[in-house]
Amino acid sequence: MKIRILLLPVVCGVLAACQSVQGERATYVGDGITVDPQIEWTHAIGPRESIPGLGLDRLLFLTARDTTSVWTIDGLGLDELLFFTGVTAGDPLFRSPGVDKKDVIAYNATMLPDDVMEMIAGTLGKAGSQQLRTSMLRPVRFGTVTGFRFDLAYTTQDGLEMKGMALFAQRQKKLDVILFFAASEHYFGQYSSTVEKIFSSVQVPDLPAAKPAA
Amino acid sequence: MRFGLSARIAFTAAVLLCCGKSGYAGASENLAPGYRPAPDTEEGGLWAQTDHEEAEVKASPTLVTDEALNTYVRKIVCELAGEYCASLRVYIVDEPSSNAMTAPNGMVIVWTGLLLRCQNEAELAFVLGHEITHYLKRHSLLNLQKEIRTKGSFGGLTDAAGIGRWLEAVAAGRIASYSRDQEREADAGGFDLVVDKGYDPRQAAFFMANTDDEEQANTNRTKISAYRSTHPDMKERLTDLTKRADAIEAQPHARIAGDEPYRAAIGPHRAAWLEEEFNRGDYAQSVAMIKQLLKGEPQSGELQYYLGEAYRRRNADGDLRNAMTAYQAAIAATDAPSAAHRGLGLVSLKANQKIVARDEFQKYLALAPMASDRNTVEYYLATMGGSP
Repeated sequence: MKIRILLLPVVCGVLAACQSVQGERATYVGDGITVDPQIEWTHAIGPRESIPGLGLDRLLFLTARDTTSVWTIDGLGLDELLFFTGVTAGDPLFRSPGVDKKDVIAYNATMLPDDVMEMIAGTLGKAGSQQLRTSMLRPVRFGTVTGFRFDLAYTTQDGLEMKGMALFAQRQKKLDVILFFAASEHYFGQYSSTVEKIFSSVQVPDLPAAKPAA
Repeated sequence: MRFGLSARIAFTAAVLLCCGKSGYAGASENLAPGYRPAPDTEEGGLWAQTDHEEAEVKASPTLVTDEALNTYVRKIVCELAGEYCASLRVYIVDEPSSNAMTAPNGMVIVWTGLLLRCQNEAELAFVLGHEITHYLKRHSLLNLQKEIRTKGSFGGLTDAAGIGRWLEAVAAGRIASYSRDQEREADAGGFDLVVDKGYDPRQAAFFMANTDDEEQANTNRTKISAYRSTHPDMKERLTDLTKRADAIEAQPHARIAGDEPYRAAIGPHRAAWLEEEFNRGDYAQSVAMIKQLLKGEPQSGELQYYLGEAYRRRNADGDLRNAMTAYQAAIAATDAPSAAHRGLGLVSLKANQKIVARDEFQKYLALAPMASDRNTVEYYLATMGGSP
């Protein structure tokens, strides 16, 4: 595929670090969580600047946390699997360029699952995602604890239609989020079943999940 | 040179609405109906670039294609523009912020966030009249020429790349596009157009006052809206528009507000636009904006529900109570959305009012048995020890 050949060198040239994540082995993604990558991903760790030409300049600007990981297969902006682990109260999922620190949507340990979904959607909205829709919030397993899944769809500022799926859990007053999104044409369908398996492969330390505020 | 759609619209805000200081003063002549500049001129280059941008807008997935809504907005534009109707092409773009623009080539873009905020046809007509005046007076060309005179050429200004660099500079805010005088002229022109068509002269000032009120609710002072960042001082405009309305107060006039046709046109879309409004993440502004809408429709269960949603998401001191009150008002309305029960259940759960929460969640599931979040609501019920 031409795009794949062209994009990966660009991505790896710009990212602070770029390495391979092999399938069929548990890979640590932070906050005690491991997943089985299923297939080989290009792995970007830590902060990254905008990537001119890929339309990502407002999409994501990851804070310099070692608990944030980004994987991709065909290139950032086409498909991304993001891990935000151990997000504590007062912290955002990430902060986009141009969004003031006091304007971010921060996590709160008393959030209900609906609140977390809205926090994720609002964060993506502030990052420039347009026509963002969330749906199908439902409880699922997150390793041995209860987590939640939802689906999302949005349009990038460059007019690319994206689809995604999110998995999250609140444990010990911290939030773990695994977020996958890809171009709805070809890429999402190509990798959604793989990501489903990754979601199912989540393993967490044997600790009780934080219950929603009640 | 390629802009993303939002960047293009940002450029509009800047190119077509921006406030800056220039030597331009006084009214200019309208361009001729059906006018199109020669391609080898500065203006021809500007038009060629905006033609290119227009092609991208046409292909954008954010374009709202609903024919009834497009016909409605197009009709207002055409009635205001008269003999220039054929020169103006309307595009409604799904974007929750409030703005509109008219490009030099006659492309008119209306953001859904503007349609959400206007309370009636007269308010929308004023904004459209303002934009049409920018087009008629060729304000963007005048400004481009001023930039060339004062700052020198960007290179081949009559080719797309040269114009594109200028547009990019405008979008980035390095160049202020419209002068305050041009904006005053657009306000005056827009006001005259709507009054001439029988619209209520007061509605322009009402729109301006509501825009200002929403801006004041912005708790993040480092960030101002696209509309405000590109327009002259709001109080000055409000004062001027009020004086203009006062001046014709005693005259016989139809004073059409157009509440009903406006609500009929946007009604099918409003809930979706309000959902998108929340994705901006500026909940304090959302609260202010929905309160404004409720002044015109105090019985609206839909608006009360979304006011509750805005309070719940903002989650400031007292907002649980505010949200409860709004959800309860929504439930009491004749058009109560079933989701108001879910919202009331959520805030009651947070307030540790489990009996109320359980009752509301059960009502929600009874009213919306196929809800996509049914499993989550059942999870809430289970954590409270009740049966779904």
